Amino acid sequence: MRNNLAKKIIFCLSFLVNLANAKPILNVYIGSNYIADDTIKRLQQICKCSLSQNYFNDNEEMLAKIVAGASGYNVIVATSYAVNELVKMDKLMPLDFNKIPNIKSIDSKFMNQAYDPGNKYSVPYAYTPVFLAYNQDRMKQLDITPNSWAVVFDPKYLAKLKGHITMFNSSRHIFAAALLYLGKDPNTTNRSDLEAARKLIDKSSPYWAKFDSDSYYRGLLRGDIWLAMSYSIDIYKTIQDAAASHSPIKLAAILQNEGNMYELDNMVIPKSSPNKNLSYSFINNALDPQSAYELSKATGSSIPNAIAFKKLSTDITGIDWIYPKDMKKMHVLEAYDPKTRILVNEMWTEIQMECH
Amino acid sequence: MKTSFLSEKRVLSIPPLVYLICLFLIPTIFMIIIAFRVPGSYGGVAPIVEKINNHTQINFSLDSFKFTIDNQFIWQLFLRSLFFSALTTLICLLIGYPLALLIARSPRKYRDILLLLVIIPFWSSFLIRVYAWMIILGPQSGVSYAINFVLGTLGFAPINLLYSSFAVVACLVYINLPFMVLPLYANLEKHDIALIEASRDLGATKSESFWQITMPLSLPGILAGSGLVFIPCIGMFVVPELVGNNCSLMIGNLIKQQFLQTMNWPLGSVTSIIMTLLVLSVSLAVGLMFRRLGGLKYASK
Amino acid sequence: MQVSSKLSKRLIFSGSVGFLFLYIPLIILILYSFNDSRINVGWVGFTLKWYKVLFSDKLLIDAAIHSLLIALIASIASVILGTLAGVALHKYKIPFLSSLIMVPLAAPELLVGVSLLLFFLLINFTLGFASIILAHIAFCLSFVAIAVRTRMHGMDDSLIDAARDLGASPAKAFFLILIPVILPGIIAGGLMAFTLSLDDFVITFFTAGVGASTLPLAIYSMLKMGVTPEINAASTVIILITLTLTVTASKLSPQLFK
Repeated sequence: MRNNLAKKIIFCLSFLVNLANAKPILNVYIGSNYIADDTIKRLQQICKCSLSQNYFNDNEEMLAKIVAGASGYNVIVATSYAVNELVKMDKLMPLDFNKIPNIKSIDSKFMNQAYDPGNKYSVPYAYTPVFLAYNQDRMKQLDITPNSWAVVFDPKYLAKLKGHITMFNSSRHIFAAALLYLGKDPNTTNRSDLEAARKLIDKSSPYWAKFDSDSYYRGLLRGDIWLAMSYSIDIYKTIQDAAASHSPIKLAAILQNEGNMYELDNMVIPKSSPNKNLSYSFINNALDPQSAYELSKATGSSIPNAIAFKKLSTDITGIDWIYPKDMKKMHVLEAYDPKTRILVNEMWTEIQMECH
Repeated sequence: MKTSFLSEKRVLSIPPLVYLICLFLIPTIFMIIIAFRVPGSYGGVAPIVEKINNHTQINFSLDSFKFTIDNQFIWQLFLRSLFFSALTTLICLLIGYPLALLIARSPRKYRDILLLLVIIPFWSSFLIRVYAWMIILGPQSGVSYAINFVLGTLGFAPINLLYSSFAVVACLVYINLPFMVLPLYANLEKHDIALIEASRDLGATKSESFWQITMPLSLPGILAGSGLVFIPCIGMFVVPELVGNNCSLMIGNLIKQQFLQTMNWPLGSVTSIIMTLLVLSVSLAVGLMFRRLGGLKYASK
Repeated sequence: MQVSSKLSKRLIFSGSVGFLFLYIPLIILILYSFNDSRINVGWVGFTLKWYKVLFSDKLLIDAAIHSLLIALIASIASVILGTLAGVALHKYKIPFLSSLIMVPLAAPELLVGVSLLLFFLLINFTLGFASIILAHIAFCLSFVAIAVRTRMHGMDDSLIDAARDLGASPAKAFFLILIPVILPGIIAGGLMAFTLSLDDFVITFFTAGVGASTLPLAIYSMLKMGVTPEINAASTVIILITLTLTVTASKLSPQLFK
């Protein structure tokens, strides 16, 4: 028996040693389905490493995990306000642009944003508009055009849509949408504006079926959800899936008149990155026009890469909810100051947990 | 020998003692301390002593306790958790009792295999078992279709089975049923059949002999099974998250949210502690009752 | 035996309802693993492609290997610590140890997970495989200790005394006499620890770090992020494996199931 135990232990140890001796692992913390398979293959050849993707569902979860001490990532793909919060938490390393020559292909209108002036810590990778996607037949029946946030906040519409709407499980996006509907700045830190937004959300949320930013598109596809706050990449994929499985359900998406949010996602290197050269190699490769092109093809992501953009067909660049024509009406979410963040989080806890 | 530092008692007890102190007791104490601290500016907790504009501030407060007490929605979550757990226990008992009795009264050669049939689903991950119900209750499943067809012909609006309190309780029952059946079976199997036969010979009806003999004798089994179902139910957060809606969230969801979304550790700690006290008092009560019933059982023999 | 003929129809009926309740969901789950629809909405047609997808899904296979390794290491460590604790509990009155063993059994998993998360953070311990294994040992230990103590209750203490009287050192008496006698308890506790660790979701969820995905964590994120019949295929494989293991184990050592 002791002999047996010893064998087991040796087996285990040798297994662990094998794991340790394998090719270097490049750990990336990224939203799911956010890098094309072809890009991964090429990257693994270039860096002689194996890519390990750790998925997060939303940026708040990612931040919580980083605060909770998750470390060991070579690269994190973080959205606008998350970059700023990571900088304030002193978790990020300033970038050396000499090691990222491909940065020159990024369209300048996505650079130098308020959340990271001068792109000291972050480089834009891709962006994802947030809007309402809907079931075409249902909207036609009800004679509703969801081109305004009113359809998810105004009782006039809500009465007809009760139980068939999903909204993101994310305080930032829900508050931003409510603030846009109220005609306020979606990034406001003004307490009375936030309280007005909260009142609006309180009144509307009984009509919403669920807070869901992970699997809402399945509800759209099944037909029980008629209207959903959505990410462009999910809807792009869902429309393809619906066509592939000959679903009778016709989905469409539309930007809202009051303006929309978009997630401008960036590559950042955490200070705790175990191998900075791998980090740079990954980032430079991900910003390569070819990679950006593949990303757009594979996922329908909007790419800030000016060179790759020219190669894309108008079939995709012509879609308004992927490449919005009027970028002035598209808002990047900024980081909150600690006071506002705690206030909004407290409101959010109640909104999410209360039964109406 | 016994007086030396390396006495057998010490060699045996110190390693597990040290391990449990480090990885159970100290973490719990940490959590209790954090309950009294203040959330940090960027998540985590604020330093205990902080210098703001030349004046020192000591960051210890009862704010999170106050928030918990002041906010009705937190009490609602606690009450709902208790209610769902109690309901789940009751339904598990109603389904599990006949099941355990059937196994216990089956011919001896079939008992092991029947028992195995109860254990097998229990050994596949509970997430898989929740998923099975996500399919069954899904809006396009046969069950949903049938129910909504009936409702439709009766003139009612269609209902959504998935993402409801019904789905949460159904899943809780399904994943916890074996915890009820196994202790019940262990108890029922020991019953002396002669006792029941004697009662029948003396003219008791089947239901009389069940309610007056089998049932009272099985009370310890019922209690053990109920404890094993009720306790893990209270802290459940995955089931409401996957199959529930806003009105079926439980206290576990709040705790998870505080640690992994809104980063308010003190509030998460306070609610965790209250939940634990609830669970411990329930298990203490079950333990005490168990002891008394055990005495009763011997007395009746 | 006589009673069997007297099983009432009502009992057979209501008991069978229980079995149907246990098995119908699993059967439906397995059937849908052969459904030729990516979105798994309604029955489309028969296919085996989800099994092909499953067996080439590196993420999921890695997660399964991680789970097995973690369970193996955690169960070995908890067998060692738990056996010590079980023997100590039987031989001596140590109220502190006995409550430290019993309380984790009654404490909600969520509390254990969250408090360990806080603990690892505050002592600056990087979350990863090591933190998962340490956490698993903490809750598996109690189960082994109790299995061992229960076994010792049924044992004749004079055996050890006799060995000591005949001149065996305490260590010799422990390894040569005590361990073989309580081995069934140790094995039962170890198996329990192994399955508990393999199946644990909540505590792993809070203590997992970078790249440390286990099978339950992988299944959870698949359930959250939109489900394809690949999960059904994975579930079917897991159910088949547990079925085989349970049946073999029950054939090999029937006393474990008593």
